[in-house]
Amino acid sequence: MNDMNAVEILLVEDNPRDAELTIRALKKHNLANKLFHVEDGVEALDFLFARGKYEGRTTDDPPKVVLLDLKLPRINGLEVLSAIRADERTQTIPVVIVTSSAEDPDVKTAYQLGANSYVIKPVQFDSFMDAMTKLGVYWLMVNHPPK
Amino acid sequence: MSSREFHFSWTRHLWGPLRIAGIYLLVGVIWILFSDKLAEKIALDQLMLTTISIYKGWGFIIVTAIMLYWLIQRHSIRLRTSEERLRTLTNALPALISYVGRDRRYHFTNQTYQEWFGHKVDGQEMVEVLGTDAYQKLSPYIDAVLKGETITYESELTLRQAGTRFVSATYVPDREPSGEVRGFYSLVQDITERKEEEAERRQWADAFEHCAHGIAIGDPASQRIVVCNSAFARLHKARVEDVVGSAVLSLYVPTDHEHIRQNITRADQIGHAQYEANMVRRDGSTFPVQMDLVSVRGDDGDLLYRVATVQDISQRKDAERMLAHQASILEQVNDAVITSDENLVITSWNSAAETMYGWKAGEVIGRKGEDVLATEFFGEARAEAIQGLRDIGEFSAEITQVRKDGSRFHVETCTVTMYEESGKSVGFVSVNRDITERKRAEAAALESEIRYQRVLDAMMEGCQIIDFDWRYVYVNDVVAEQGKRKREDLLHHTMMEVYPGMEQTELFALLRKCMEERTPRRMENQFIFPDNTVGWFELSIQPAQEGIFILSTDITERKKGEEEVRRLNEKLEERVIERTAQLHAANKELEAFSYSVSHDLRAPLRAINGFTRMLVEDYSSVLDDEGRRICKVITTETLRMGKLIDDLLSFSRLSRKEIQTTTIDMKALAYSVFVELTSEEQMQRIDLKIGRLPQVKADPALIQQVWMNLISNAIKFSSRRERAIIELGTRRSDDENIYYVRDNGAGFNIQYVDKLFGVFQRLHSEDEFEGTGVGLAIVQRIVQRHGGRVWAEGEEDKGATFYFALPRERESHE
Repeated sequence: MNDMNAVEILLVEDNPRDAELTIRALKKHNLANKLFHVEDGVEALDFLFARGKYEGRTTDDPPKVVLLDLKLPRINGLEVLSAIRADERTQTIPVVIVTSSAEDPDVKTAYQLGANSYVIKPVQFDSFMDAMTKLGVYWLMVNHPPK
Repeated sequence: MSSREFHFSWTRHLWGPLRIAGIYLLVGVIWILFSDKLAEKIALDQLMLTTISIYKGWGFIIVTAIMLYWLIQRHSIRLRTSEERLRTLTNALPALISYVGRDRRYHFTNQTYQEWFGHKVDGQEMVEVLGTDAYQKLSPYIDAVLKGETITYESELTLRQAGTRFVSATYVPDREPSGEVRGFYSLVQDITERKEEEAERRQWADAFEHCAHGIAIGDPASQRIVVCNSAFARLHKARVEDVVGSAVLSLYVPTDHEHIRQNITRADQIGHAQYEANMVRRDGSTFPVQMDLVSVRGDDGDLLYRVATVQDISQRKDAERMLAHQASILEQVNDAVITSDENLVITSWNSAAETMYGWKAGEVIGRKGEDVLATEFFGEARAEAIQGLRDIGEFSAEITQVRKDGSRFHVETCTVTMYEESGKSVGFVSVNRDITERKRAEAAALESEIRYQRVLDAMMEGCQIIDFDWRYVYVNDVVAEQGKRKREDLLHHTMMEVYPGMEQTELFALLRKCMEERTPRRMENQFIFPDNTVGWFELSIQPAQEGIFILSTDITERKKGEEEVRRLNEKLEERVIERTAQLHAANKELEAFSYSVSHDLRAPLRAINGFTRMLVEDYSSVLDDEGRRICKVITTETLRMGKLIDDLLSFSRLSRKEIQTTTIDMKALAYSVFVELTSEEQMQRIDLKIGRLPQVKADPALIQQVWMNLISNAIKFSSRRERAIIELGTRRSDDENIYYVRDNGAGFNIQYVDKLFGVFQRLHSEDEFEGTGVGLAIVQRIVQRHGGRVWAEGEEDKGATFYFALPRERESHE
C-alpha cells in the first residue's frame, strides 16, 4: 500500500496482531486495497495533515473512514479524534472508534467529540471478522461521504 | 298714697289763698258801700265831696295793703310751722327719707342722710352721693319708679361713707296733676342688724337641725315634746312631725320610766342630768341611749323647757358585750393569760393559769408576779426583758417558771404592754404556754438531726447546706476536701468570703435561681481553684429549709476519661479521613487497572483466538484431527477467559457506579427478567411461581442485575430436572423487604455456604455447570451497596434458595 494519496481506510492501530486481524477481515472482501495503517496517534495526525514524514501528501482526497483505536502510545485515540474534528480540512472525515474498551465514559466522550461510530473488538474470531467486514462494507460501499 | 288722698291734699293747699281772697273781697265791698254814704253826709258841696273821695281812695289802698300783709304773713307762718313739723318728724325717724326729682337729685333729705353720709346731700345727684357701684345696683329701681311704679326692695349696698349696709327701701312716684312723674319719695330702712340676727338664728337652727345627736325640747307643763331635730326623729325611725307632740315618757321603755323621772327631777334641781336609758320606737324595737338633759330657766327663775341630747350607744353596747365575750374566751383558752399593772402586780389570772401553775386567781391577784412565778430567763436578763417591754411594748421568750408545788417547767411567754390613749403604759398582758412537751420534741428532733448529720458526715458525696445569706451552715469533710479548704474555714463564712468573685460565676447564678425559685437543679460544673487547678463536680442542688442543700460528686477523673475518649475520637477521625483518602487513591488505581485490563488483557486473547483460527483456516491441510482439536481448545479457553475478564470488569464497575433509587415494581421486573432469560422451550420445562413481591426503593438497573443473576442461576442449576420449579417470593419482616429465588435444582452442600458469594468461587465444575463464579459476588455487592444483605439455604441435589433483603426506607450505604 504505497499510494498515500488514494487512501480509503486509515487504520490507526498500535497492536500489530489486531491490525493483522483487521486487515485480514477486510481483505477477505476486497475492502483493504486502499487501506493505510499507522501505529500511533502522532503518525495518524501527521498523515491526515500531510506533515512530518507525510509531507507532500495531498490532503484534497481524505480517507472515506478512519478506524481509530483508543489506546495508543503518545497521543491517544480521543486526542486524535478531537484534533481531526478541530481542523477544517479533516472535520468531516468519518471516524469509527474500534477498541477493546466497553467503559461507559469512553463511549460517551467519543460521541461527544464527534465519533461516527463506536465498535468493540470481539475476542471471538468469527465475531471479529464479521464486525470488521460489516464496517468495511458499510463505510466504503454503503455510506456516502462529503466530497 | 292713693290719688284720692292726693286730691284731698291738693284742695287743702288752695284753702289758705282762698281765705285771703275772701277777706279782701268782704273788706273791699264794705268799704265801698259805707265810705261813699259817709262822704255824702260829710261833704257840703261838690268840691268838698271830690276832695273827700280822693282821700278815701288813698285810705282804701292803705287799709287793704295792711290787711293783705297781715293775712299773708299769717298764712306763711302756718306753712313754715307745718314744714318744720314735717322735718322734725322725718328727722326723728331712723329711716332715710328723701324726695328725688326727675333730675335724680335729692330735693329733700332727712337728718339720717347727714348721719350716713356725713354732710347734707340736698341738691346733689344720687350717683354722687351713693357712689357708682351702689347707684348702678339701684338704677333699675329708680328707672322703674320714674316710670310710675311703686317699688319696694331689699338690697345690700356698699357705700363710700356708710360702709356695707343691708337696706329695705320703698320708692313712691310723685306725679303732676297731669299724671306725669316729676320725682319720687324714697323711704330707706337700714335692716343690717336684722339680717345679721336672722343669719345667726339660722346658724343655730342649722346646728340644731344637723346635729348628729338627737335633740328634743320638752315642755315641762305638758310633759310633751315640742320640738325635735331630724336626728332625734331618725333614732325613732319616724318623721319629726310624728315625734313632736309625743309624751316624753312614751319614748322610753316602761321599765325605765321611774329612772327617767328621777333624772328629770335631778335636772330640774341642778340644771342638768346625764344617764343611760333604753328608748322604744313605735314599732316596739328598743335601743340604748346616752342622755344629756338640761333644764332651762327664764330670767325670773321659771322653768321654761327641758332640752335633751340623745346619743345612740348600740355599737358601744355591742363592743362592751364583745369585750365581755372575749374576756370569757380568755378565761377558757389553754394559754395562761395574766395581766399585771405597771408595778407587775397581778391583776387578773384566768382559769388556764390556775390549771398551769396550780395557783387560784384569788391567791395570786394583788401579789407581785415574780414572787409567785420565780421566772428564770434564758440568756436574757430580767431587766433587759422589762426594758424591752417598756421600749418596744413587747417581749417574747422561752423561760422557766415554778408551779405552786415547786416544780419547774418550760414556758413560752409573749408579753405586751397595754397603753392608755394618752400613750402612758398602764400594765402588761402575758400569754404563757406550757412548752414542756414541745421542748421534749425539740430535743428528740435535735437528736434525730444529729443522727442525720452523722449520715451526711459519712457520705461519699460532698454535702453542704447554705443559708439565705450564702453562709455555709453545714459542710461535711468531703466538701472540705473537694473545695480544698478546712471545714472550719467554710462553716459560718459566706461563699463570697471563701471564694472571692463567686458572684460572677454561672454556678452562683444557678444557685441563686434555686434559692429564689425553690426548685431543684442539676449541673456539671467546672471549678477553677485559686491555685488554677481545675476540678469537675456534678452538683445536685435542692431547696432546703435553711436555704439550699448541695450534693456534690467529684467527677474530675471521669471528665479526664471523657476528655481522653474525645481526644482519641478526634485522632480516630483524623485516621479515618486519612484512610478514606488512601482508599480513594486505591480506587482510582483500581479504576485505571480495570481500564487497563479491559484493553490490554483482551487484546492478546483476541490475538490468540484469531491466530488459532487463522492457523485452522490457512493450514487445515497440514493439521490432522488432533491438531484441529487442540486449536479448538485454545479458542474455547480464550473465549472463557474473555468472559472472565468481562465479568470481573462489570463486578469492579459496580463499586464505582452511583446508586440512583426509584420505586421499583419488583414483580414486573422479576417477570420481565425471567422472560428475557428463557427460550420458548425452557418455558415449557419450567414451572414458575411468582408470589407477592412488594415494591421497593432501589436502583432499578442494579436490582435487575440481581434478579438476572439469581434467576439465571436457578434456571441453570435446575436445567437437569425434568420439571424445574422456580419460585420467586417474599418473606415478612418489619424493617426490610426480603425476596427469594428458589429452585429444585442441583443445590449445594451447606458447609460451603460461605464460599457462595465469593468472587470466582464455584461449587460446581465447569463441566457440570458453566460459569465464572462472579454472578453471586455481583448480587452480594449490589445488595450490600443498597444497605441490604444476602444469604442462601440449600441441600445438595434438592435445590437452593437465595435471599436478598433490602431496607424499607433505603438510606445511602456507600
